[in-house]
Amino acid sequence: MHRYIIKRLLMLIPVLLCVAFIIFAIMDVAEGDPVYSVVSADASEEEIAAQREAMGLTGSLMERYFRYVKGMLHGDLGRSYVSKRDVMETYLTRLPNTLKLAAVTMVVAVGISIPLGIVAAVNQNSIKDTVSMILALLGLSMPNFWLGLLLIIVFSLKLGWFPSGGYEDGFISLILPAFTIGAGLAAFMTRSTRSSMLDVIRQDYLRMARAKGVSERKVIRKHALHNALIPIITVFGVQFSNVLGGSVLAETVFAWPGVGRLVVDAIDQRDIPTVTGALVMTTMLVTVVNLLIDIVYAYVDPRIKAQYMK
Amino acid sequence: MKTNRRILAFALCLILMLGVFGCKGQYAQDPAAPAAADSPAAQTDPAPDAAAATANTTYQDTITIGVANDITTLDPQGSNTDANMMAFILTHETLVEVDPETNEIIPGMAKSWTISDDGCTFTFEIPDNVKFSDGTPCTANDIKFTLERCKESSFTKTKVELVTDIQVIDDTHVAITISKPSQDFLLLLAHQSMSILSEALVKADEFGYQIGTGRYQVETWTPGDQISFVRSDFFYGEPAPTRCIIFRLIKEESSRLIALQTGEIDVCVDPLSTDFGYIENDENLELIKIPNYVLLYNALNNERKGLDDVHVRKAIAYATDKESMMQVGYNGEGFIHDHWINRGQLGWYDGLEVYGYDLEKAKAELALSPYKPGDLNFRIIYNGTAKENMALVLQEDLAQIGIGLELIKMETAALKGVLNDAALDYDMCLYQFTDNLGTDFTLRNQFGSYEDGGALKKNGSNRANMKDATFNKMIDDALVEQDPAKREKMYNDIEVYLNDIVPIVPIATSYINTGIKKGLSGVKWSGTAKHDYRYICLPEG
Repeated sequence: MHRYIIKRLLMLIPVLLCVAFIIFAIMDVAEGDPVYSVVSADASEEEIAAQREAMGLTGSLMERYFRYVKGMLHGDLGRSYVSKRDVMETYLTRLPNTLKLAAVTMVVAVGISIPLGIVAAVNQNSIKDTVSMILALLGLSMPNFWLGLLLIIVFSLKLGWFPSGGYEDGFISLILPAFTIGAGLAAFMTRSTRSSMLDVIRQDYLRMARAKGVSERKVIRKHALHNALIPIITVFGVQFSNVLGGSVLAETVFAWPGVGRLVVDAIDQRDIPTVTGALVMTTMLVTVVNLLIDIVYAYVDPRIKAQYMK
Repeated sequence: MKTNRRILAFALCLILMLGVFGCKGQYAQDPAAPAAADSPAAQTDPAPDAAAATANTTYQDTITIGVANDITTLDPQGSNTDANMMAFILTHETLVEVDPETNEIIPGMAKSWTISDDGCTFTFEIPDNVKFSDGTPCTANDIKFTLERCKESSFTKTKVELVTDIQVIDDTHVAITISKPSQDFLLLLAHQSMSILSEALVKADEFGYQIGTGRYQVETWTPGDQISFVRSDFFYGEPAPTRCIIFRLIKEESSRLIALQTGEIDVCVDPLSTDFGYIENDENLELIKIPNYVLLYNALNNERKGLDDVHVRKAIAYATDKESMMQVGYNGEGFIHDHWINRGQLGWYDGLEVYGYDLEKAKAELALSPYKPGDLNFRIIYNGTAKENMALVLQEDLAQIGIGLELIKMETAALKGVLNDAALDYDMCLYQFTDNLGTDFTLRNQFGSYEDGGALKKNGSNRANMKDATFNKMIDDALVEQDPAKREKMYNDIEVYLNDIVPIVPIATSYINTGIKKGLSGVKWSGTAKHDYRYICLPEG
């Protein structure tokens, strides 16, 4: 198991190098010279050249890339072209907000989807199943920004229960953005849970358990759900990774200072060090989350654990 | 417990809400429920211009301003965005200031100044107790250091290009000499990018420029989120009435307005014009509308084939339906602009023959050019949805006189890149110019050029790429003219001259709109969107 974990962590190195290169290449071909985001229209050609040198924009794409990688290996992600602040420091300021939002979002998503998916599967083709699937369809169909504004209007403006944005009020500030993002995820996960459960509850071993007199509740919770978990965990992992990358629309509507907005604002300003640094860090985070999900597989399914041991 | 109950109720209400409100389309007009002031209150001095304030008025301790644009740097000489300038007004001081209501020069850090008989030497006197917010004294040496720093920065060098000498007379007196008399020099010194810095602090710390002599100092700054300012303990003048001012970044307009309605913020900068009704119908809120100095114009690249012909430019001017463009871009909230300087500036000429929307005249002008309908196809670049809607109107109108127009929407950074790149690879651009730094600054920056190696090179903001020695001489002569009446006449003539050659098509100016809580006072609203919040205050309750 340890060897597997070390192997996966080592695989992170080429992944990060590739991600950094791809971002460098994309920013290189994108329209808009980053120099002009920091000099005025009155800058002379000499000043522009000096600024280009100071920003490390001289040399070929590969030269700049290797310079960046050299710094990255020393934990230096560079300085923002715009704010002149350390990119790592800026990223670490935003990361806790994103982690908090991601965690609560997943709690909302799991809290809604698992019970709803089980109820839908157990009561297949009944009114409960239909209602669950309609709710799931609603969740999938509603755009994030629309749902976010709707929630703000009702629960902030009309009822005054939650703040309309920001994070100053602690946990209560998380509720509306988490529900906004979580609604869509919950809808997707409800359908996955239902389909996974439907596969399992038709299995013979469940019929056997019932025949032996095991209560229906226990059959579902212990035997069916446990075996249906692998696909659900997979979906959970993918969705969690997506949320870690930032939910730009929800972050914008709720003025939530997360990583997603950091990256989008930096792209708009052609702030290459911030874009690259934030995406490299996010890639690292997502890879670690995927690794954790793989480890969870092993604990849920002994067959997978045995594979890891090889 | 209360929170748990709310969360539970939230979950129960959600399904109901989706059905009931989801189809409603717009929210009703009830006033916001929560009370405005959750923050601790402090007894403070009344604001200087808060007429309603009395000696016993208790003000909110903290005022939060919901802003649309992030602060990018706290270096006064390192940027020129409005968002940054508003921060510098709080934290720094300039030698002189401009009264936004009268446009007159008033004392800033300098309590007085004299101008030599030849109009070339300005001697400023500053109080002897000026201190930076870290407690260190500010002297005339710091003023000299700052002006020299301004010469090094691409953002400020044009404002001090006439300065030839800076003499420190003593700790409280400094004399600045310029190469020729300039009637607008004091206006340039009043710009926030000329904020005075401490030589010692800037040399000792790479972020030393954040410290100024203003009424406030930066408390915390989280880029992309918010910045807070607290009253400086070392400010030498009357203290600010509000202890803490926060600029909170809320980019989404609807969210920003809702935050004002719920009382989470006290000022909502730039609400959507379609949302004004919500402010006007709310008894707790007020809408402030200030005509702005931001000129929206169509920059015609005068060196591109076709656009180098004055008749083609005139045809485009006649074919521009400014009224319709203003309707689709500004929701009708604005003023059509036909002049070459800003409304209210010295030299505004009422007798100008403007280019009204007239397709027949446009066709007639095009017929005077070497081009026939169908010969010309241009590309127009712009950013933002409002300008996209305006460009669509222009495309439709130009098509009617046989000029093709390809629309190219760009991100802001990309647009700036194209405009500032030496290649100047654009035909037209919908862009804007903001200033209140005097007629000379407006004309010189927008249309001026300078000689370099025997050839004329355009000034930075000259998006028309106009290089005209006659025009340059006209503005140089007007700048040094000491007789106000003669000078005004010279600027009138410049307006007529530009009107004849049509380097750009001026389109409109609009309003700067701000939603505030009723009772809020002390703000000096500015037509350049660089509002002065130093005296802002809001009575408790």
